[in-house]
Amino acid sequence: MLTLDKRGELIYANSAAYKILHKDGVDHGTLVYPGKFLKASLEAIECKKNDTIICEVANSHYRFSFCPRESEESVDVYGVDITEEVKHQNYFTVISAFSTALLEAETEKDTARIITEEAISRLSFVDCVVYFVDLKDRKLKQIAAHGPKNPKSLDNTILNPIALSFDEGIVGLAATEKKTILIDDVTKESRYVVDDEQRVSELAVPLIAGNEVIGVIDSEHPEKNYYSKEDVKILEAIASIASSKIQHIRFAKRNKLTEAKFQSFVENAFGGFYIHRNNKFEYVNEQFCKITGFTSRELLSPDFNIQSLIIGADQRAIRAMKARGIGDESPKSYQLEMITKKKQIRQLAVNTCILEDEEGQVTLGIAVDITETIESRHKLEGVIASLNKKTDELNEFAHLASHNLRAPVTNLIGLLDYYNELSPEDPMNRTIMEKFSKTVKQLNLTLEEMHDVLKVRAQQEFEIKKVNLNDLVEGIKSQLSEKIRHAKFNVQTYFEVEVVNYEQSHLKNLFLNLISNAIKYKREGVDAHIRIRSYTRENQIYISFEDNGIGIDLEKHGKNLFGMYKRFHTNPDSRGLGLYLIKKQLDSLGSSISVTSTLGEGTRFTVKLTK
Amino acid sequence: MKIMVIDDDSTFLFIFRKQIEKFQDIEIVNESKNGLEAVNYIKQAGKNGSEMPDLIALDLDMPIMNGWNFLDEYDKLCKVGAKTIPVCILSSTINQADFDRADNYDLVKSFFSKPLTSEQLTTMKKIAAIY
Repeated sequence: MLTLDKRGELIYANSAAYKILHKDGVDHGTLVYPGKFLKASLEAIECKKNDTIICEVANSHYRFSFCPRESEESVDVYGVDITEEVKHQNYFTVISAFSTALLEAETEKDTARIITEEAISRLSFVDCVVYFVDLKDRKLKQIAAHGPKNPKSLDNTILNPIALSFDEGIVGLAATEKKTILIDDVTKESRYVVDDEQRVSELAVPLIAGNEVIGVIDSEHPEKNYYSKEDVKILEAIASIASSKIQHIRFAKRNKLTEAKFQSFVENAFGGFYIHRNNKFEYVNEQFCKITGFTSRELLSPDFNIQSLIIGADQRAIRAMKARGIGDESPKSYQLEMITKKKQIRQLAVNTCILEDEEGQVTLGIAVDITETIESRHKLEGVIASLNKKTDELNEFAHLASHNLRAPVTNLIGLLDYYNELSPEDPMNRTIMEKFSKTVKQLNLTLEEMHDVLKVRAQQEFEIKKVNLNDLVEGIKSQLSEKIRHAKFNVQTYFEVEVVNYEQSHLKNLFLNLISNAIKYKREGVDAHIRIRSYTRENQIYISFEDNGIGIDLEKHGKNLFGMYKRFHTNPDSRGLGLYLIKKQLDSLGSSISVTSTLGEGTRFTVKLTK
Repeated sequence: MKIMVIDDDSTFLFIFRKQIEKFQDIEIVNESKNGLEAVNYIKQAGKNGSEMPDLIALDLDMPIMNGWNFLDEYDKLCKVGAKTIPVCILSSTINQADFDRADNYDLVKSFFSKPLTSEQLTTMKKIAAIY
């Protein structure tokens, strides 16, 4: 406290006032007044008004309050040391400016630059360097600097940037220990690394994100014991704010990268990718458009309902989809039928997954068009079935053939045993030779039949030409004329269709077999006949053969009627191959044959010719 | 031994007759050309007292009623009281499936592949004697 008169002469000063204002800090002699001190004193006396100023005296800050005395023309001045207060004020200003500036930072480098430009430069640090950990080699690299390391002429670049590993320097120590390192005299530290010049005090604060050191803010000063507790605090505050900013930047960057990767994956995906909410598409990729035949604009239109794509879909799949309750977010697979824009039905394999977001449930799906796969699978199954059938038929044929060859051969062997070689005149020999000859003929016939069967099966090429049914029947009638006359048999024809396009040999075989069968199995006591008709029904040509013969017990023999070597009568001419060959030939061109019969009345075969 | 032969092959029957000429004690009591004729004979024999065989020699491949169908029909007859006569199959088949199928019939005591030998006829006599 001190008192001054209106000329500025000192009237009184206590010892504290002498300590603050005397240049040597003693409590006598002449005082030195800082800046506006005297001016403020005189104005206070003149205006009779209290006033306050803040002045810096020898590195300390003081608030001086001027209180003019009512009665005398003098002023009492009270000085208070507010150095700490001012420092805090300054820190607050720095931190808030730094935080505001940091909002603009988009990259880690921006952040480093703002640390040096907006924070360090406002503090009383001579030198400061920001290091970031390089993720590639785990070294601490200088990113930004304030002071001699960053001459203004070089803009934001660093002069001779150095890299430190974690076991080098005070910076490395701060990074390793994950804590602030304050060294009051580096000359006593073996770890100290000289950068641009030798300094004495050093303060290194790590930047920590999560539990990882991402960098270090390092400041050096040529004086010993330079850094105060407040300096440590503010640098730690800056480091903490910067760390969270860097973490945020890295997270956003990673997100963006992941998003970009995912987007590129989805856009180029082999499958059709879509996202829908409440049956409205929110996203569709190009492949999905290709599968559906719609453009993305059409699919994403608010009027487009997803359900219109899966009309006629597998009801089980729809039920399964609807049955998915809220909260069932597990991925599911369905196979469903989709109708494309061009009204084509395609088979889709769909994998969906329901996710919840702030707007409710959203379904992500990948659809793959498996129509071709299914079709080729069906085709393959068809091929396998037909191959299996062929194999079964061949096995059956092999067994029948071996049996039918073995039977006559064993007979030949048996007969030879009884041939009387000693007396060739033995009348028994004649009988044996007759039987031998008959058996050899039978053997020959069997071989011929086998040839026929194989020929019919092997036939791949057909000669389709116009066949006149009347001419065909006339030819067969003359071929069978002997039998027809003998049986007094009557062949009647009623041809609505006279000329058909077909393989002539097949038709000839069909007519010959059915006519000769009708003769073979005619009924005694009636005028035996066969009525052959041709007609058209629903654009298909039919030929029917109706006889009044003995008939076939279809209940017993129906399923074997067209089988190989199936005989139903004791007629010695019956070989059990005729109907088999007919059926095989008709099958080979896609025609079909059916039969109805009543025992003792007659039989009707109906042939439906392929279109 | 009285034997019934069911076979539609006249040449085989001719040889068969020749073969049993060597055996004084084998006599053919019936020749049927298929299973149906055989079933009818057995049915009739029960009524009119015709001779019942001690053994049935059965071919498999025949029209009207083949050997398998005969076995089914005869099995039914046995269940309603007809005499159970042992059956030997005589066939030219060498198909394993036929051998396996024959095993399912209790009636079938043996399966002979043609041509028939004298040894097989001896075996048939033994079978007839056992059952």
